[in-house]
Amino acid sequence: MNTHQEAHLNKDQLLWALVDNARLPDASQAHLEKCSLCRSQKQRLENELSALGKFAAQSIPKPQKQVHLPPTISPSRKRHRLYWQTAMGTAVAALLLISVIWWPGMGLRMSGTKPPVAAWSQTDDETFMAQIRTLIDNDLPQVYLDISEGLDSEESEDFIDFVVPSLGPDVMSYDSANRRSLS
Amino acid sequence: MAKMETAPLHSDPPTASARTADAVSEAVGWVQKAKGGNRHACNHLVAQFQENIYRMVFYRIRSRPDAEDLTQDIFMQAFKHLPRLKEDTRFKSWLFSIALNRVRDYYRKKKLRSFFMTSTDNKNNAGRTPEPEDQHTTGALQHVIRKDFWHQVGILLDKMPRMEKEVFTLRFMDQLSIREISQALKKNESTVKTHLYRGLQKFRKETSMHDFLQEVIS
Repeated sequence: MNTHQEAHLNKDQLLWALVDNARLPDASQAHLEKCSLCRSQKQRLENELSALGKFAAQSIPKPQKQVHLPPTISPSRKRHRLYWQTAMGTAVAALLLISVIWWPGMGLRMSGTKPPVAAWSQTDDETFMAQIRTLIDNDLPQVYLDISEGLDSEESEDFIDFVVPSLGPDVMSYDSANRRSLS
Repeated sequence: MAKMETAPLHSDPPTASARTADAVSEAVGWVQKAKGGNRHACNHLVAQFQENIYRMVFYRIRSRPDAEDLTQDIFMQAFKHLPRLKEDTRFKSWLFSIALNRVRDYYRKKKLRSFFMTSTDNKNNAGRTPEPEDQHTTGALQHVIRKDFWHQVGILLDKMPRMEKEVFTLRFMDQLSIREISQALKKNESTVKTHLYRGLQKFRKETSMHDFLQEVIS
């Protein structure tokens, strides 16, 4: 008795019996054929689902309009419509493509400060040469120019003499002193 | 409560399958004629499937005028593209797949419209009880019972994901076979069975729905 009860289909197996009997193990299929209890449980579920469908069909309003079939749509008109749809689609795609290509180009031209070579004028040449001349006159970097601007002209000469003494006739050079000591 | 006779839902009982085969072979003949432009055949197919399609649409949108319009659209679209149907035996599932797409389009358009409408205008039909006009033709009690029924159905279907809901509805409310569902949804039969099994698991847990249906049966 106990073994027979254990062999009963469980709830999930009962559902599979409803959906696809072949998915049940052979033993369960064989049991279902013999067991009236399992069959009645399956039948109960089937009846409920059947009642669900039937009650749903009864619980909707009847249609007041019947389907009316007009004269068939001529293929030529359909083809014509298809042609226009394709043409419109292509035009929109082309416009999109142009706008995508055009705008970045415009953006580059607006943001770029360098004029083309042909637009380089004579005044620009002169400005450029003036900048070069300034660089020749003051070839020190700006940092050193700022330091030297702080020094007074007379003071600066004394300072330079102090740092780098000028070579007079009475001052012996390191080389001549060495040569004399060697000879 | 209205008493109903219930037919068992065997997956393929011999008599039912023989009847289905007859219906399919009969439909194939009409489909072939309709493909050739036979108007009588087209009318015959409309008469044969109109009720099924109207019901199928109504279950999903719960509005009679909209369901009528969509049914008209579905048949128009079907006859326009009928030459594209490769296997005539699949006409029913093909028709249902067109209907499913049209219902999807309907909801897409509705969603778009509701985006531009105020919240008071935006009412969702899902879970709505069918037309109040029915109240005049049927009794008030019947109306209450129907309202309760659709409420229960709404609760049950809300617990299912989209595909599970679709498979369950197609099987037990639209009465399509598993093969027809797999053709209409373009899914293999094994997938359909798995969805159906999961849907049934949820159905089993709905005790109030069981009580309701047991009352209907008894």
